[in-house]
Amino acid sequence: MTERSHKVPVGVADQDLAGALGRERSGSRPERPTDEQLAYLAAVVDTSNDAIVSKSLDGTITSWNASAERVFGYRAEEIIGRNVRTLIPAELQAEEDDILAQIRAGGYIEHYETVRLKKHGQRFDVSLSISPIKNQAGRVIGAAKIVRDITARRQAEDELIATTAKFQSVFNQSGIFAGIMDPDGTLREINDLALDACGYTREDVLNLPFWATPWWRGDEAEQDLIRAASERAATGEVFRSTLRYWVADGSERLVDFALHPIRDERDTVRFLYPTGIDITERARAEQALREQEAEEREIAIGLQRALLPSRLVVPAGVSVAARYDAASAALEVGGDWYDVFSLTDGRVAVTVGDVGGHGLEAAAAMGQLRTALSALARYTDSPGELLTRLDAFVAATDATDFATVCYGVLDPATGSFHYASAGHPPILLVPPNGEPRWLEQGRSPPLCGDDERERGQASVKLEPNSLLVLYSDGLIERRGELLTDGLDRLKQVAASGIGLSLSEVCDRLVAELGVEVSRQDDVAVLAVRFTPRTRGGFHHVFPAEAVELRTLRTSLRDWLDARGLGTADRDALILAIGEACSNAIEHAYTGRVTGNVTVEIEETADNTLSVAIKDQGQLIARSRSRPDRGLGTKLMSDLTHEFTRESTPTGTTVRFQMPITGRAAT
Amino acid sequence: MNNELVRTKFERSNGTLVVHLSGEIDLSNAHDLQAQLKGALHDSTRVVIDLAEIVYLDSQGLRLIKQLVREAREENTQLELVAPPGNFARQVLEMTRMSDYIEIHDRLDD
Repeated sequence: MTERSHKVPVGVADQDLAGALGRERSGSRPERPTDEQLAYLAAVVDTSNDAIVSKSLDGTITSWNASAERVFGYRAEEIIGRNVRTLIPAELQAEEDDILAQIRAGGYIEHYETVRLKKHGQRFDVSLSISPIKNQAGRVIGAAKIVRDITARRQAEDELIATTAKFQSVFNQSGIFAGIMDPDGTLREINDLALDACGYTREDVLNLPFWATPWWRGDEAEQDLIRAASERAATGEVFRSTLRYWVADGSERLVDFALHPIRDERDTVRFLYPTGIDITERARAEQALREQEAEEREIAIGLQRALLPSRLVVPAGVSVAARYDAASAALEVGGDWYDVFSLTDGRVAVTVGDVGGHGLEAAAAMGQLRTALSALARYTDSPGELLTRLDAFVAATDATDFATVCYGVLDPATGSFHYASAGHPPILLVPPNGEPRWLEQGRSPPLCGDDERERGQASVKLEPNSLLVLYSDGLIERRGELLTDGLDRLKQVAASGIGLSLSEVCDRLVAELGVEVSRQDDVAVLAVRFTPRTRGGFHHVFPAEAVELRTLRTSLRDWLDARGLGTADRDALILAIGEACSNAIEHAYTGRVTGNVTVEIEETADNTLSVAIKDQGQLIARSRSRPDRGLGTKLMSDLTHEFTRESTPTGTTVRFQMPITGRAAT
Repeated sequence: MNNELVRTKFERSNGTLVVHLSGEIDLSNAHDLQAQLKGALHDSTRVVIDLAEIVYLDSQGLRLIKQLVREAREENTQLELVAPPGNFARQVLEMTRMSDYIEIHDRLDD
């Protein structure tokens, strides 16, 4: 409630109120009015909405109309004869002295706002108008006052003041730049913040076209934009944009700017209301956040890589290669793992898993699960039981509450592969000849830490050179595509990898299946090949590429040395096999997709090595061989016995034999 | 691991360029090696290719030598080989009668 002055205003006119107001119950009446006059006056007084009271000069109440009864709560007979001070609050008693003094002097008081008391002491706001009552001699003998209850008006006024104050505070302190423009774009009002925060004064900006104000001085294109926006706003269109603006010290900042048309009740645009919020700090914070997210992603990737095995060691008979590829979208890394480890019985465990969630937490959880799995694997032969135990681990820790895993154990001696999957997409088996197929048995629900039931498992016997592909779902999932499409694609790509090295298989899978830019998930791929050494024999499959020859020779040397061959025999055999393989690489696959070359050596009972080199190429180049290409053939036939070459539309097989002459006696 | 299958080292003394080769020559590197050695023939009057450190050389290597012999003739450059008896390259050269086309020394200082 606002403070009000109660100083009594002084009237100066000598206007007379009606000499007799109200139904005077007592007091002098110097000149008797006519009955008609009295009746008229009484009717006016009684029907007035205002309380009308008269009093003598000593303050004694002499008349009291119906509205007075209603306004003050006193009935006429209760109050007439009492002093008017009864109606005045204690602290305002001095008012009455002033009022009486003025009245005696013939003055009058008009619309004096003050406070009075109701019958039960309740204070209320009133407006007083007081006139002297004079006798016929012109002497003041009393006063008549009209009392209007202005409580409601006061409340309305207070509300208006409060609303205005609120508007002022909103306009000035809300953190929003705000102004008022004429529809022609002239800036008429601006709030303090828009000036103080920018170092401008009202003189700098007011009464200018808004686009010509110094906020926009750094960019003419922006000025044009605001001019156009103002013109459109004048027709009722709202404009909103992030703009650059310039403050007094010349630095550039960013504002989220809006321009609203304000209409009157007849829907005419009366003025434009520009507002803006400085978003420089927010934009910087967002940039910092983006940088922080990128950094966190790097950390997650780093952690992921640190937690994945750096080197996969496997015994003879098994080859493996693995890839981990982080997802392209920010922070969507972590959670996938692969692992390969040997069990004490010589079997090899292979696994790929995927912990729910992304980022550092998922990467950390992945590390725990991977470690737990390899630790638990030492205590059970059964993949299904291992997954049950891993689920119990999930239940016992708060590392994660959702993970999928596939796990298998390969016996390099027999090719027997036992496997189980907890909610993980199926392992792909690519046999050396024939259609790839999914290992769809041995499935159980994902690891959620709440399933103690036994988990199933299954087994399959692998042919030599079979390829197994284990992967996380990031490899096969694409947005807006059925999962079966991804699985079909994986099958197709993997089928073409039978002749490739495992590293190439992995690279090809990630490249051809993981190309989608918007890929959300990271990808783990593990390729496993069953490469048994036939008893006493040599078996080597390699992609038909020249760079593979060196590895072949290394394997051959090792194998031949281990068999105690003399250096001459050894070198002759390596040379002959090298020639056969060079031919296959150079001619068999000319212009075609690179296939693979297989080298097999068997030792027969009569101390002879029997060699076969096979390719699946067609002998396209044979008819236009260079004149000296016979050199290789000559070498092979000179160095070996029983040299034969057999070509069919599906490939060529070179066979020869080599007696073992130089073998050291055993 | 050294990924280079064959290593070359050039040594020039008294107008003779000696090319020391070590490692293996096969389909994967014969072509590049030929290009490398062709230049050497061009600006020397006598070139000796030392094969003593070569542990593998197949028909691709032989083809390379044959090609170098032809080019040396055209360049009027004297080309000789060094390959000790029993050496892998020496055996292959003799087996294929390549030794008929080019002079092969047992040792470099011959």
